Amino acid sequence: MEKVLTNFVGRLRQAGLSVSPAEAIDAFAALSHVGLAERSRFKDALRTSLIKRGRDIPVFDALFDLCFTGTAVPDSPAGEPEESTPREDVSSHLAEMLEMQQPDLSLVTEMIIKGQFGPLTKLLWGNSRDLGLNRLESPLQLNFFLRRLRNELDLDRVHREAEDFLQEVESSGLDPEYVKIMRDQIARNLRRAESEVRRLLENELAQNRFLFLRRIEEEDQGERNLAQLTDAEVLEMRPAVERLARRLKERLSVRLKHGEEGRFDIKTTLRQNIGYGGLLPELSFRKKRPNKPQLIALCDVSRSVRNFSRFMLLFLYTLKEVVAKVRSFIFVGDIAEVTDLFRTHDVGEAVTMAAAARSLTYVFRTDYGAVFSQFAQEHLNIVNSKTTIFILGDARNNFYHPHGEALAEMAGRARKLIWLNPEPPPNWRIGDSVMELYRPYCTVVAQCGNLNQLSTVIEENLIP
Amino acid sequence: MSEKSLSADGFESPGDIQTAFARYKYILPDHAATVLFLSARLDKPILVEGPAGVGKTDLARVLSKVLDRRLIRLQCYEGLDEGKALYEWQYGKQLLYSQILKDKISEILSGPSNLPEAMDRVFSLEDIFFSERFLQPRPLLAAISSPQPVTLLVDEVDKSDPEFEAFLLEVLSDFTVSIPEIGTLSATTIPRVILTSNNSREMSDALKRRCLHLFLDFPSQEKELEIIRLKVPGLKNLVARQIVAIIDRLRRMPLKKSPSISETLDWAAALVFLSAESLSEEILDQTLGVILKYEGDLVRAREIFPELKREIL
Repeated sequence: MEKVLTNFVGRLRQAGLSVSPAEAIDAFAALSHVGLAERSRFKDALRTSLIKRGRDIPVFDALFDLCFTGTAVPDSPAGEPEESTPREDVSSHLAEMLEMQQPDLSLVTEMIIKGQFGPLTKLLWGNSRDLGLNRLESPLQLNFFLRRLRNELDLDRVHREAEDFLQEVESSGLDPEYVKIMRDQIARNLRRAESEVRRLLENELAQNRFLFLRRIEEEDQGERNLAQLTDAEVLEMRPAVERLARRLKERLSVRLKHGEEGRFDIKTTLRQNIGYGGLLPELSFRKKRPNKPQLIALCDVSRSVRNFSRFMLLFLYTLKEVVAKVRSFIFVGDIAEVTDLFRTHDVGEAVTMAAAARSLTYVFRTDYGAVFSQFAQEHLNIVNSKTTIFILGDARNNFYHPHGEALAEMAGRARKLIWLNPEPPPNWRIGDSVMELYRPYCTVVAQCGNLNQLSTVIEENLIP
Repeated sequence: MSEKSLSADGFESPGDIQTAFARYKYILPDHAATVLFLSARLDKPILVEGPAGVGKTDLARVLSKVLDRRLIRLQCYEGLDEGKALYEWQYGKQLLYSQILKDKISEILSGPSNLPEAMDRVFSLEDIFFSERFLQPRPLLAAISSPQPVTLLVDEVDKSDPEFEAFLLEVLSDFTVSIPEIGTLSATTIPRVILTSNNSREMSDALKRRCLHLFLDFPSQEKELEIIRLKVPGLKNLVARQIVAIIDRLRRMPLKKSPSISETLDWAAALVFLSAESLSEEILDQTLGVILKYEGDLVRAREIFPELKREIL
C-alpha cells in the first residue's frame, strides 16, 4: 500500500498540486483508521489529508479514478470481483501441490500457478520505473511496452516450468483427468496474467496522458496568440484567465509588512492605556491602508483587433471580481461604458454584446483622437491619482488626428497609463500606427499577444 | 493524548457520527462524517471551506452538542490580535491590588537595610502580580485551559491577518501558549477544533498542512429534500420537490448571492404558512424575495420563469 500511495502522491505533484511529506504521512495515518474496504471512505480520507484547496478537488477526483481503478492495481480498495468460478478454480490445489513437491520454479511461475495475480502485478509494477513506464504516453507505444513486460515476465519460461511440473505430478501417479484440469487451470492463469499486464499498462497510460495533457494545456494556453482565437476558444480560456485573476487577487491581498506604520493615533492610544492610569506605555499608530487599485480600461473593439478585444473583454470581466473598482469602456469612433453590462450579464453574453459595439455610434474606423477627446471631455472626473488606465488596442488611427493632448491630459491625472498592443513592436512604426506618438504619455507600452505576456504586464504593474 | 480524545468522542465509525448528527436535525454528508471521524482519531483540526450559508458554523455547533462539550467561539476579523484572541493582562486589577496591598508591601520591604536586599525582596514579589490570577484568557487560551474538553470554533479565519495565523498555529500545533511573563502554558484538555473560511483569501500553507480539509458545498437535490423534510415537515412533498429543483437551478446561475440552505428552509416555512398545495408562477413570484435578496438577482431569476414554468411548475 505504501508504494501505491506514494505513487499517487507523486502523480498529484506531477499534476501541479503541492503535497507536502507531512500531508502524505497524514494520509497514511488516516487510512489506518478508515480502512481500505469502502471506496468512498477511502477516497474521502485521502482527499481530506492531501487536498487543501477547493479548486484542486476536480484534479484529485480525476487522478483518483485513474490510479485506483479497482482492477489491476495491487491492494486496491473495493476492486471489482474477479471473474473466477470457485468451483473450477483448482489454483489452491495447485498451491498445495507446490508446497508438497517443492519444485525449483521461478517466482513468477509460482505466482501464476497459484493464481496470485495481486502479488504478480505488484512485482511488475514495482519494477515499472526500471521498465520506463513513465515514458508511456501514447496508445501507439502500448505494444512496445507490452512486449517489454512480457520479456520481463519471461512467459515462455513459465510455460516450460509449468509443463515440467505437471509432468512430474503426472508421473507421481495422479489421475490423468485431474492433471488435465490442472493444465487447463494453468493455461487460464497464464491468459489472466497477460490481461492483467495489459490492464496495468492501460492504467499507466491513462494516468500519463492525463498529466501530459494538463501540462500541455497550461503551457499552450499561455503561448496561444490571442489574435488567432475563435470566439469559442476565447471563452475556453476562461479558466486560465480566472487563474490569472486569482493570482492577482492573492498578490493584492498581501498585507503591508509589519513596521510600516502610519501616523500616531491618539484616540486608540488613550483607550488602550486606560488601565495604566495616565501613563502611555503602549502607543498605537494608524494602519496605512494598502492602495487598492482602481482601474479604467479602454478597449478597442474595431474589426481589426476583433479577437484580441474579445479576449481582453473576457479578462476585464474576470478582473472585476478581483479588483475593487474596474470601469470598462469600449470604443471605435466614439466611446461607451460597459461596466454595467458586465455586472448584469453572464460572461459570454457580456463579451459578445460589448464586442458587437452596439452602444457605439460610429463603428467603422478607429479614431483614437476622437475617442480620447471625448473621454477627456466627458469622463475625466473619474480619473484620480489612484487610478491606473489601461488602453487596449493596436494604435492604428486610420490617419485621423491623434489628439495627443487629450491623452496627455488623461495621463497627467492618473497614476499610471498602460498601453497593451497586440502587435509586435516592429509593427508599431508601420502604416497608420501612432503608437510611437502616444508612447511619451504612457508609463508602460507592452505587447500583449498571449496570456503569458498579459500575465507579466499585470504582475509588474498592478501590484502596488 | 489521543486516548483522551478517543474515549471522549467514542465514535466507532463515521456512520455513528451521522446518526448522532441526525438527532439534532443536521444531515451530515458522508465525506463530512469521514473527516469528523478522522479529526477525532488523528487529533487534527478541520478547516471547513464552502459558500456562505452552507452550514459550516452550524457544523461546529451541532458537533459541540453531539460531543456534549461547551462551544467556544472566536469570530475573526481584520485586526484581530493576540490581546483579543489569546490573553490579556488585567491591568486594572493589578493596579488595584497593588494599591490595596501598598501598606503590606512597605511592611515587607521595611526589613532589608540596603538597596540590593530590597531589590531581591521586590523581585520575589514579581510573580505575584504576573500570575495566572491576573490573566484574562481569551477564546484560544480558554479552549486549552478548560478543565472539561471543549469545542473550539474559529469562525471566518480568512478574515484575520497573516500575523494572527502565526499564533493560531502555535496553539493548534502544540496546544500550548507562550506567555512571556509566566512561561509556556500547556493544555489541560485538547479541544476539538473547527476553522471555517469563506475563501476571501488563501490561508498559509502551514495552517492548511496542520488541518484536515473539508469542502462543504450546497447539497444535492435529494439531500436538500431530506433536510427540508426533517426541518419543515409540514411542507407538501410535491412543493418540496419543486422548490428544491428551483433552488438548484438558481444556484447554477451567476447570482450575486446564491440562495443558502437557511434560505431554502425559510422559503419552505413561508410556503407552509401560505398552505401551498403546489407551486404556481404567482406564488413563486410573490415569495421569490425570501430566497433572493438582491434586486439584480431577482431580475435574473424572473427572466428564467418561462423555463421554470415549463420544467418544474
